[in-house]
Formats: sequence, structure tokens, C-alpha cells
Amino acid sequence: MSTLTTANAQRDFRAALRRRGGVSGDLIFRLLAGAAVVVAVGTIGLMIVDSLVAAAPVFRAFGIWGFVTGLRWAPSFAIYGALPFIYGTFVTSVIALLVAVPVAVGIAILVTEVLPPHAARPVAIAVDLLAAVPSVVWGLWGLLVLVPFIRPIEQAVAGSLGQVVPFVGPPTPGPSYFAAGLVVAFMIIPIVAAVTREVFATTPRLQREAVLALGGTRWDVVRQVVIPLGRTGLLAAVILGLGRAIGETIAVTLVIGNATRIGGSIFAPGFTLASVIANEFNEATEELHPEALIALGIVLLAIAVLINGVGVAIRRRFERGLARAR
Amino acid sequence: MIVIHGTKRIGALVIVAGVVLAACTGGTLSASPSTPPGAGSPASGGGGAAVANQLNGAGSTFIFPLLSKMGEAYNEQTGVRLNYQSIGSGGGIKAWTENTVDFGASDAFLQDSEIQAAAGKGEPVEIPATFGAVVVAYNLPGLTAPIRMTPDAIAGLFDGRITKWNDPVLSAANPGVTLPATDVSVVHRSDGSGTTSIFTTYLTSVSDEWVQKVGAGDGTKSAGKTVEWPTGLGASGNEGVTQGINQTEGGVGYIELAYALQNKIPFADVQNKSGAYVTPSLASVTAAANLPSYPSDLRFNLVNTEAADGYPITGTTWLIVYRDLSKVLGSKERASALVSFLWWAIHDGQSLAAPLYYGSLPDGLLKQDEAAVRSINWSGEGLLPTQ
Amino acid sequence: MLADAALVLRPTSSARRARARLVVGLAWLTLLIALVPLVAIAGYLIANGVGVLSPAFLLEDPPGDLSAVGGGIRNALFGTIEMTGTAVAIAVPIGLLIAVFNAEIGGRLAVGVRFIVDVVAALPSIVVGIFVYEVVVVAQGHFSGLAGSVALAVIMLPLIVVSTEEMLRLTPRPVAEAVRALGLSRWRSYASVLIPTAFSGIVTGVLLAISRAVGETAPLIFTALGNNFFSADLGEPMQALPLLIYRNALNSAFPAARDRAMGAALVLVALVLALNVLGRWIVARRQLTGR
Repeated sequence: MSTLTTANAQRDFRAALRRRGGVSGDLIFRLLAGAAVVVAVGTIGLMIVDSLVAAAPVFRAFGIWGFVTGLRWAPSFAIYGALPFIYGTFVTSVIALLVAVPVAVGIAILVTEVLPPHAARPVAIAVDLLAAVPSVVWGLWGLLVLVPFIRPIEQAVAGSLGQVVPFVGPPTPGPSYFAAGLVVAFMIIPIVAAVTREVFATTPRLQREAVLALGGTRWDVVRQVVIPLGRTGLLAAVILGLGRAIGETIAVTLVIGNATRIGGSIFAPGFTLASVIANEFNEATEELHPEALIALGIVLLAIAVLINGVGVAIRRRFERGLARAR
Repeated sequence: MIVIHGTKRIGALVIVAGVVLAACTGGTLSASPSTPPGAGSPASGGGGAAVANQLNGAGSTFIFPLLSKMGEAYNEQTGVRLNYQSIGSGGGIKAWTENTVDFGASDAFLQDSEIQAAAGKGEPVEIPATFGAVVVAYNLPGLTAPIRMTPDAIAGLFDGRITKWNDPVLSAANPGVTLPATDVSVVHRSDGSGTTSIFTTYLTSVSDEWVQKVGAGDGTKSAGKTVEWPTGLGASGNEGVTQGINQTEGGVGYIELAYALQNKIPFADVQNKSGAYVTPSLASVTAAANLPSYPSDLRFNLVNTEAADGYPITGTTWLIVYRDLSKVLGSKERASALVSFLWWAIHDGQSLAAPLYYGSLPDGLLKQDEAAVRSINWSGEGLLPTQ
Repeated sequence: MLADAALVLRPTSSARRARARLVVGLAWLTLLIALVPLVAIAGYLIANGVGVLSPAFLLEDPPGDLSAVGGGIRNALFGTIEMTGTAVAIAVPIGLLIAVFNAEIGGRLAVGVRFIVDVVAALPSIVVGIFVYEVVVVAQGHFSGLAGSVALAVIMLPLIVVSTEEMLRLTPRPVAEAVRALGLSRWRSYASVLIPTAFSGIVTGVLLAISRAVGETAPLIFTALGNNFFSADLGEPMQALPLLIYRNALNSAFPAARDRAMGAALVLVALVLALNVLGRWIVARRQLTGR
């Protein structure tokens, strides 16, 4: 058989297939796919635009900068400022990360460096199970079990250390930035641990074994190879956790104490952007109140998109670094 | 062979999804047309469907224990279900304004601005349905008798001036009782609350310091469903505040009497205008609620009562509906069902109030309530079967 | 690397070995910190919720008077299933098509679409709730199960798009080449070969998206609102497991309602766990059998 005949045969075969209604199917298919994209993008766009329009009066009244840096949130006076909530989101997320990241790194080290594979799998799955607990259950347990449990500890710290060190003093009513940060930490541990695990698993075996061959301990391996090489990936995991942390709503609103002020201590009650919206939206009847809450939602959206963008960029850097190492 | 399998699989998926979707929606979606505002034809109203065997309401957590019992009794009697979401008076007013429910329940009567906001859909009818006490509940283990509080003490506790329980202002009213040196932990409402409205209206009428600290001197700002609390943590609903008081030693908050009794939380005897320390109870609530006459628009405050044995922090819950239901409900049947329920609530339903420590409507007020319910109409037509 | 080698070349003293053991000990401690809440929650839910569990609990509605003992959570369970099912019916076809669109069109357009999908993925669920409220609830004039379903669909969509795109990218080379060699039309190649090949991965992605949607409360607060009675009508407010828990679990006034909420929490966690385990099992089976 000459190649020419085979090529002709292939071409005829393809043409035959297409004639059997393949073309019209193709067109419908493309239209459907395009329509899906348009519907999805259009709906999202509509939602965002709608909300921007709804929030516009608030930005006009206080100015975007004025609203974002406004210290006072007083619906009864029709005065709205986002700073107490931005502060609350920031403080809760930082506390959450301070707890979750070391724990996640520890677990990742355990799973990739210490445990044999048959033990590592169940441990990894157990940690992932933390993610199966819904937000509302975390909040409930947090309020009914965790808060009463840590309150005496908070009081002890506030009474002693809190007299000299700022930010850890009284009041200690129980529900607080600290309680919320702790609960959020538990919620983001699974995802930060999972990503960190994957990052550590990509450490080139060559370098890991080189350190061991030279007489290094497991800690040396971690300190000199795993963490330095996984630095970027670790940062990506942290950013991912941060993105989740700022959006947690229900768990936070149940344990944060719902105070629309900037609390001077981590043990004071407060509010985050997400939790204040959940709390007040359903009954915002004062002047500009609903619009102000939507404006808070837009501020939260902006922060989330920013963090997400940074995270994606870092992740891409990490993957490029991986590709280069190979 | 892969070719046939794959297409069949996807086809099957699509069919199953379609069947599930069809079964779920069951075609009832088509029964709830939503018309653009101002089109002149009836909007879809509280529930969307033209079926009249479920009434939707939302609002006050203050009245929730009573409405819950009322709903059950009414269902047994008539088969009509009452779906009431206890989301706070502010939420109830908002839901009623936006016509996402059939009726709202609020412990604060409508402000002029709120009436204005609802003007597009019509005029409101506010029907006082019951009375209750807002008690000052606290968590101080070891005390055997209720603490006595003067109006000044209460204001001081909640605006942050009093920070320890053994403060002289509190001790002065309680001779012979050693109050502990525990820190005061205020728990207030974080949601738009009629209970807050009752409580802060009381504080505004008895304490200049309160008006100064919370309202910057403006009495309309120091009283209302939300105020700018200078201290304390917020909780959602009467339930949330009860929870907050319960789990914090030194906690103090304001809740409806039924919640305090059901959770066995101690509450204070409050000094009323006549100087007597009154224990919140059905009797003292009824005494405070019994006004010689009520305003014709049925909007009144019962706080700081003149009655010698009345409890000074007494409140009312209003059931709020639109006067002309043809503009907001989908069908006349639904409107009739709603009005029948309201009529029942102010008559037969009142017998359920006393066991829960809510006050029943006195005769004078009942007559005015009846007139209000009769004024609810469908394009001018009356909706009650008789009279 | 020479400097590092010099550091490491020191003989392994007992001090360094002790330090290494300390670090490993700390790592075990972190595992403990992560697992203690898990065990605590499981214990708490079981202790408080198991008392109300019974077949009747899943088949009966809550009593009309919430303070009454007995009754069940049928309306919430059904509502969760119906709203999640509707969300799947909305999100899966659209998500699959978008993933295919991205894979086929590629280039700048796909980058743009991926960016938007990323933005939606980053949306906090409360913001999704507000958006859907503004567009659906206000337009309908009332709260509804449909609005709740749309909110859940928005949350599920990015998860489905991303996992499907991932699976399509992982199409084995022989299959991808065979499709090209056969000269199949686009439609045929996806419907008959590429999607079925990625099927189990897509199903896993959908299952994980479902397990996320089932546990969401915030987007439902302003859309489905909640309903104390049974309703299968998507046009009416609808109850869901997380909503029932949120509204009743702190109800100190009605212990019966609180007990039902605890039972519901147990059921919800079990449901999410089951979905997760199912997803994992499908992945494991795929790794074993290659399909």
C-alpha cells in the first residue's frame, strides 16, 4: 500500500464521519459551550454590577477611602465605617495563621519525613477529615465547648501578662477575636496541611538523601533541604489558608462576640467583615444600612480577589521552579 | 464500543438530571408569577403560591415562644400552618416591607421612615397582640435573692460606668447583701431587636447619662432597635443573649421574661416610677399594660409606667400587615386566611398567653384591635366572614 | 552546598540527635493539636445528638410547636437534598461546558474565563448570598428554595470547572492521540471519549463540590430563609440542615428544639463524611483499575 492510498482513505473516512451529522452536532456543541460561558460570566457580572450599584450611595456619602478607614459603625446615626471589621478580619486571620501554619508544617513533616507510607496515609486522611466538619458545627462547638474552656486561660493571661504586654489584656468575656481565630485555625489546618504536604513531597530525593548520606539527622534534612526548597510553595499554602480564613462567616459570628468596635485586646469581642454582614443583613432597615453592608461585601470581595491573585502568582512561581528543577 | 457506551452514559445522566429537576420543581414555580413593580396587578406576595394553607411571618424573638404555641393551636383548629421565622424585630419589619412574608412581628412600632419605605406597597396596620416583660438577667452564682436595681444602676451597668458588681450604686439598693467583686460583662443584642427598643426606650426615659453617652444627647438615637453600645458583646436573638449570660460569670443582659424563666436565670427587681421595687411577673406586666386609654393609631410605649405596681420595662408586640392586601398578596383566599388568623390571635389565641407569662389584651384595647383587623381589606372589600 | 555539607559533616553528636528527636516530638504534638478538636467535636455531637436519632427522626417533620419533644428533621433533610440536587443540575452542565470551552478555545479567552472562575472561587460564601439575594430574591419578591439553589450552584461552579479542566488535562496521551487520529468531530470526541475517560475524576470533583455545598449556611440565610414545615416547593422558603442547626442549636428556651438541632448536626457531618469517603473511594478505584 502506498502512503497516498492510506492518506486518501483516512481523508475519506473523516469526511464520511463528518457528513453523518457530525458537523451540525459540532455547531450545537460550540453554541452550547459558548452559551454556558456567557450565562455563567453574565450572571456573575450582573451580580457584581448590581451590588456595586446598590453600594454606590455609601461610597458617595463617605468617599471610598473615608468608608474604608471609617472607625465608627453606628446605623442609628447613619454613620458607617469599615475599619473595625477590616481590623477584625485581619486580627482573626493572623491568629488563625499563627496557629494553623506551624501545625500544618508539623503535620507535613510528620507525613513526608517521619512516618512510613502505610502510616502516613491514614494520618493524612484523618487530618483531611477536619475539613468535613461544616462551619456551623465548628461555630456551635466553639461557642458551647471551646469558649468556656479557654476563658479561664484568657483570664489568667490577661490578669498577668496582660498588665504589661499590649493586646493581651482584659476584657475577657469569652467570645473574642482570639476564640474566633482559634476556631478558624482548626478549619484551615486541613487545606494548609494538604498543600504543604504536597510541596514537601516534591522535594528532590537526591538532595534529601545527600544530607542523610553526609550524616545529617532528619531535622537537618528538613531545615536545610525541605523547607528552603519548598519556601515558595509554603508561602502559597499560607496564602491559600489566608484566603479561606477571611471568608469564614458562620463559625466566626458564633464565637467572636459581635461588637462593632475595635477591641484593644485579642480577648475582646469584635466583628469581621463576613460575620457582620451575616449578622445585620437580614434586618438592616436604617438609612443606608443595607447599602453599607453591601459595600462591606465589596470590600471583602476586593480583599479576597487580591489575596487570591497573590496566591495564584506565587503558585505559578513555585510550579515554574519545580519544572526547572526537573 | 467505547463510542456507544459514552454517549449512552451522558444521555442517561441528562435524562436523570432532567427528571429530578422536573420532579423537584413540580411545576409549582409556574404558579407564582412575579410581576414588575408598579404594574398594577397583584404581586406574588409572601409565599408565591396561591395556596392558602401556610402563612409566613417573621420578626420578634420576644414573642416567639407565644407565637409558636399559637401556631400549633391554630393549626390544630383550622389546618392552616404558621411558618414563623424568629429573626428579630428589625428583620421582621424588613421582610414585611419587602413583602417577602405575609406578616411581620415587632416589639417596636414602625418609625415614620419605615412607614415611608413601605409606602409603595401600602399603608401598615399595626395590631398589638400581647405584652411581655424585659428583665435584667444576670449570672452571679451564690446569691439567694434577686438583686434590686434602680434605673440609674441599670443605665450604669449597660453604658459601662459600672464595671464591678460590688459598685456602690448597686450595693446601696441592696443593703445586707454582699455583692461579689466580679467584673461586669454586658451582653446585648447584635441584631435589630424590638427587645432592645423596649429596653433602650426605658433607659432613655429614666437616665440622662444614658442619653448622653449612647445618643450624644439625642433621645432618638439612644433608643431604638439598634443603638451604638459603648460596651459589651453582642448576641443574636433573645436566645443568644440568654446563652451569653449563662456562660459568663458576671454576665448581665436584657431578655424577655419567658426566656429567663425557662432557663432558670435570676433577674432583678426593678424600681419603678412610684419608687417600689417590682418583680417582673404576669401581674406586674398586666398592671403596666393597662392604660386608661390607647391612642387611635395603636402606637404606644408602656415603659416607665405610672401604675404603682406595674413593672417599668414592659413592652408590646405588634403584628404588622398591609391594610389593602390586594396589592401585596397573591389571592383573596390567602388574605382571608391571614385576617382569620389575626382575628383568632386577638381572641382565642389570648388564652395561651398567661401560662407563658405574657399579658393578654385588656377589653378597651381589644375593641380597638378588632377595629384595626376589620379595617384590613381587599381593594375595599372586607375580609372577615362575619360582621 | 559546600557550606551546608561542612555543617552536616560534623559527627552526629547526641545533642544533635536529641534536637532532631525534639523536632519530631513537636511534629507529633502538632498532629495532636489538629486531631483533638476533631475527636472533641465527634464526641460532643454524638453525646448530644445520638439521643434523638431514630428512623422516625429522619422521616418526620419538626412539631408545629417547636417546644414540643419529638418530631424529626425531614423537612431539613429533604430541603438540603432538593436544593443541592437542583444546584448540581444547574452547576454541572454549565461547569462541564465551561471546562470544555476552556480546553478547546484556549488562548486569551480561556485565560479570561479562568480568571473569572478564580474570582468566583475566591468569593466568600456570604458575599455569594448577598449577590444572589439582590438578583433572585428581590426579583422574585420572596425568599425561595430556588434562590438557595442558585447560591449553592454559584459556590459549586468553580470547583466543578477546575476539577473537570484538571481531569481533561490528564487525559492519557494514547486516548488523546486516538481521538485526533480518528478525526472525530469536537462534539463526538468529548461526548464519546474524552468526558467518559475523565468520568470518575469528574464525579469525584462533583462529589467534593456537593459535600461543600451541603455544609454551607451563610448563602442560604438570605435566600432560602428557612421553613419550620415541610415544603418541596422551590418557590417557597425552604429548610436545610445547616439552617435548622444555626437557628435552633442555641435555643436555650426550647431544649427539645436544641436536641433536634444536635441530631441534625450529627446527620449533617455524617452526610459530608459519606460524600468525602465516596469521592476518595472513586479516586482509589481509578488508581487501581485505571478507569
